[in-house]
Amino acid sequence: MPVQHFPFALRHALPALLLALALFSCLDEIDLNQGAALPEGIVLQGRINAGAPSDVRIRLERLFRFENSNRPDQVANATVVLENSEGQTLSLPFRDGAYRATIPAGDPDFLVAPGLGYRVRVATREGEAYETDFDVLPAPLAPDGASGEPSTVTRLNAAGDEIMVPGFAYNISGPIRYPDGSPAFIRWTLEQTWKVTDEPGIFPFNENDPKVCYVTQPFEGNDLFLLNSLDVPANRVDNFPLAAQARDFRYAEGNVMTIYQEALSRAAYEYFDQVRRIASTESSIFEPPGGPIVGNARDVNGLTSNVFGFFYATSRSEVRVPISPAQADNPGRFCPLVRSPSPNPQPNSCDDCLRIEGSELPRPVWFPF
Amino acid sequence: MKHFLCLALVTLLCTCVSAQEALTLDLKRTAITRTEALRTINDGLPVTIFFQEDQVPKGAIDLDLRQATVREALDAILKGTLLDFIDYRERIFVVGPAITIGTEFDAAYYAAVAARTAAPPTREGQEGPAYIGALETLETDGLATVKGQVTDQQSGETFIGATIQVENSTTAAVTDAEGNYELRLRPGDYTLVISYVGFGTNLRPVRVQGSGTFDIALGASATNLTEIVVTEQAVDANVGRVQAGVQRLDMAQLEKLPTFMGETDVVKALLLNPGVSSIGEGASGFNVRGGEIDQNLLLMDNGALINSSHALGFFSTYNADLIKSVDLYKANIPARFGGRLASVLDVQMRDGNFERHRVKAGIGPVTGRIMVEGPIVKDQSSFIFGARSSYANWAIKLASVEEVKNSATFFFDGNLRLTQRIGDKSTLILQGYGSQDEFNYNNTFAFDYGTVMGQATWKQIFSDQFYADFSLVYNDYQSSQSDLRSLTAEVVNNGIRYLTVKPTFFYEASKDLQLQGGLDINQFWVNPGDRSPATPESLTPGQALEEEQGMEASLFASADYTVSNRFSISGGLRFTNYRFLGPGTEFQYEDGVPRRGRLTDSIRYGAGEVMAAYNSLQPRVSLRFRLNANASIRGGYSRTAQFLNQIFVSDSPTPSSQYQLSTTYIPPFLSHNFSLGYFLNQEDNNIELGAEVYGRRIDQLWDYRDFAEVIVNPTLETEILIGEGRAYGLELSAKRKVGVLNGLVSYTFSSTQRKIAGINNGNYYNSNFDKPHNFVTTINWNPNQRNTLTANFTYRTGRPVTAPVGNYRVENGLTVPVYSDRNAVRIPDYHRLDLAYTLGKGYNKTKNFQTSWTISLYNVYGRRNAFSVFYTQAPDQTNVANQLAVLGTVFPAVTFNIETR
Repeated sequence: MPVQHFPFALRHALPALLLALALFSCLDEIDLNQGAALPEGIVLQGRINAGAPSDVRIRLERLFRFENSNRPDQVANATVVLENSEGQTLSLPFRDGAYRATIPAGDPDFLVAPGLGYRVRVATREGEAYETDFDVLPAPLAPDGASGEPSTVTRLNAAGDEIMVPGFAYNISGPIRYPDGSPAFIRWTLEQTWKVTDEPGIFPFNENDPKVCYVTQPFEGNDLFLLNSLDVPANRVDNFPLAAQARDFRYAEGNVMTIYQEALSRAAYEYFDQVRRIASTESSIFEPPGGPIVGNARDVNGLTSNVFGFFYATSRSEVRVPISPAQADNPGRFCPLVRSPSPNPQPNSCDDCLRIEGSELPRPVWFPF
Repeated sequence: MKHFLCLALVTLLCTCVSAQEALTLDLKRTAITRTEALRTINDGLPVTIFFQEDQVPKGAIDLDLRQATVREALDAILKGTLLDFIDYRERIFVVGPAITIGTEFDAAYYAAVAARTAAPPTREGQEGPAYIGALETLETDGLATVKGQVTDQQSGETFIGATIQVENSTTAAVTDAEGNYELRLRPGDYTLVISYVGFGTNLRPVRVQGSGTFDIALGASATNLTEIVVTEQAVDANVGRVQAGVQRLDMAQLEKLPTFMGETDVVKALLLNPGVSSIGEGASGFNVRGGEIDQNLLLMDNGALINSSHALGFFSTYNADLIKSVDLYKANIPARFGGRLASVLDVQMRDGNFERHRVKAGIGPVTGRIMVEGPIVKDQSSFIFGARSSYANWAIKLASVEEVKNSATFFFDGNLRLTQRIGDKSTLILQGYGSQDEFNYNNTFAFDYGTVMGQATWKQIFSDQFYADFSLVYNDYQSSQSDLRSLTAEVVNNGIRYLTVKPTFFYEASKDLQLQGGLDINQFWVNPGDRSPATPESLTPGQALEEEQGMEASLFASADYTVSNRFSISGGLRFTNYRFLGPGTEFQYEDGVPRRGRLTDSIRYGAGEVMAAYNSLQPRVSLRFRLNANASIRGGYSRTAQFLNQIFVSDSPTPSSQYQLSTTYIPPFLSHNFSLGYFLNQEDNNIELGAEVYGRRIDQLWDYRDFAEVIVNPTLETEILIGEGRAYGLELSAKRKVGVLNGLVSYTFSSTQRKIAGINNGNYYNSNFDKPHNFVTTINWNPNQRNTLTANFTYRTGRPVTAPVGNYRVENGLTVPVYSDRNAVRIPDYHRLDLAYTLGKGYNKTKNFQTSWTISLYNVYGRRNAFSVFYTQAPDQTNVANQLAVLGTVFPAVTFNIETR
């Protein structure tokens, strides 16, 4: 029987009640002595995605500490090895911010197949050593299809009141159990690609012709989309709701939402379920106490007290939902980056669409608009 | 035989006898029987010899007595027999078996008789002492048992805990729950000093002649010390009581304490005691020796209250105008109480006045109250009614924040008690209590909770030694929280009902041994939560959990035994059988361990079927060893169990928190509790000092997993982890009870920890209510009876919280916080100063009514004490600690009280 999660209504209520009742209550920021020293820690996380070809991506970062900058401290010079349960290994070089590799389909030197286990071993130059548990690669489970239906979305207006605005609700349909009836553990991630044509307006861009960019970004939201088929008394879902987004500038010239469906192991599902619950936690005095998320990475040498993260093996499928400007009622364009004021305004995305994060010039082959 | 001897002596010794010269005799006879010899002496001398012929051996003896005294003659006659004699002033001789003579009639007896016979005759009714008993009722060891009852002269109400002390002596007694006392005294003249808080000290001169009854009505004593500035004799309960870890609330002190918004608060007064603390303003409940707020049994006579406060902890549920006594048992709980782990707050309500009608009312800035009492049939039946209500909305409308202006708050409570005396031996008491709390914030969020409780008690006296109570209680507590915004509008309801049947028997086997026993049967019905949409537009789907039922049946027995003048023991045993009953559904999990997502099956139980059962044997023992008149050592042990627990995952419990019965997967809490203390009185018991250490081993408890979800969760057992806990502490207290300057100081050092697999890597961590240092002082300055200035200062260590100390990002950009060890960080310490000035009741006794004023300043220096701390994320994704202080300023209040005489 699934546990329903409802968005925070009463958790909002209770702190408000206290504040109101007290009349003279005070909410102050304070410097709170943390007591114990900040922990030394490392985060080891990543995945292997089985496909043709398969790809591997591992991130290794020092723990994100508050008194330092808000950028994680990447470890770029470690030796990272991927190992399968057949005893085969593959070294992963560091590039573009992660340890990566692409494995051709059917590579006999490193087998990628459902039922095999995969883990990561790390050795740093400082003598640290980490490894993860083996995570068994599940068989792929592809969705039948997805859709984006007109809907309404809750937003806060300028006064802070909740209002409903037009939007699209994205749903997915497909089997949630394998043909033999065994349960599946599924995670969906959403990524959207939209087209934007820039309008160069300030020097020196005003001498350029307008160009078209295709911007790909992860779907914004503070949630993870997970399903445990053991919680659902059915073999498939139809129009299972995932996310909703307001009809805004991202639909002005066409939008495609790519939904990736990952079949996970049970251990990986439980890890992401913990992450989802923490992510849905509102910060208030009435929240339950927090604690460490249990991953599958651990310290081998006993030098690091806090090791976080999870390495998992998945078979990934994808489905796309295109939405045309007409379907979105032709929303207006908008420049996400506002120009700085005169006398020397800086260019924004309307001057140069390549300034938008995730933007590129080539049109993806699957983009229809 | 004993009767013969006694009668012989009584008959003869009533005669006034003066000292005589020694008599002698000459007696020379051969082959004379002993009986004949005794008769010869009896007839030949001005003496009287009592003997029973069938006890005297038949054989003949030879006597050759020359100038022998009567004693020498009797020695010669009784030589070689099993007989002996006693004499009174050498004129009266009693012959009897040596064993009887030696053990039952000793010198003390005769000294008492001598005192009585030597005293000049007096008559009762004349000015002078009250006469108690007669020579005939004097006991064989020369002592008299004086019994009686202490009552209020005006209302007839009996007093619990009044002290009757013999002036200039350590001999004292304390009245029991029925107002009865007992003293063992030698015949003579005494002055009894009777003390009861709020009534000052009264003197009663008495002349004890023998065992008898002496009832005392306070209020019109021969000498009322409250009108004379003298050092008062005070109770020695600090060293005298046997029960370890019990505190009696001083009701007179209660009315002088600085108050929040002018409302007298019983629970806040408890916080003056060592080992008792609270989270602070805005949180309901209190903590005893590190226990949780739901681990205190809150009694109103025999009914247990679910919630101890109104308005989120700002005001107490108990109406102080209706209370007779308040006792707090800290961990060492007598066997007649059970169902909670940490403490029992035993609040006894008083009967209405049997003599005349009285009215008392009080008006404060945001609350008002009224009490009315009086006879229905004089001396036979009475009633007492009390009601309180808030009217704070006018203050809310003054707020500058619009949302607050649109809010409303209200609470009400009412008590009604009817007492009917049926003959001399029976009493029927019917009592009802109702309360309601409501709060609405800007028509956006709301909560409300209420209690309806009724109880009936029959008291029956079978004999002087044997009496019984039979009680029936029904309680219904319901609460709800509402989100009133249209799209998310929902209501979550929780509640608990119970029915209690409790017969208790009391038997006084002897003056040194009192026995008590009975049953305590509770049937519970718990609503664990139901959620429903509150408006037609709401998108919230409904969900309701099935009502749960449980039965907790206990059999208890206890004995209070005075081993000697120094050593007393109070021991008991409580056996509880608990059952979690159907109808209900029990889920099955992989490996039998409840975990999220591991549900495999379910079992359905029908109505009344036992789904889970637990038995608990709970010994309770308290010992007192009195070192001398002023000092004692007291220790105790108790085993406690709790089958009904409040569910709250936050550090700040609200009155709407849900309740959960023990089930197959959710076991009861179990605890071993120990204490040992040294107690010392000084200045004729006016100063009480105490040092007590305690330890608790909670061998079975549960806590919530990280990020637990408990609201309307049908698989609540997956959010709970089972483990153990420990607590220990040192409690120091010093109290000066009476005088121009009086008050108390208490300090507690304590530690409360838990150890649960799955939390904090299975290592010990601080419990939510762990506060190592707790210091409280209250000082009263009483220049005279009417004026009192009170200062109250509280300091305690900040509570522990779990703080985020870092974070990392998962691949889709979600930021995951990294937390410190559970409860490893502390919020800022709590401290607060309050002041109050009381202009008390007037001296003029001709007026029909009395008034008093209380002016108080709560939180004098405007301390912003952290109610709790939570964390928000700054734009640069650093975490920021935010302290919520519920009261950040000083709160003045003026309260006016009026009552009839």
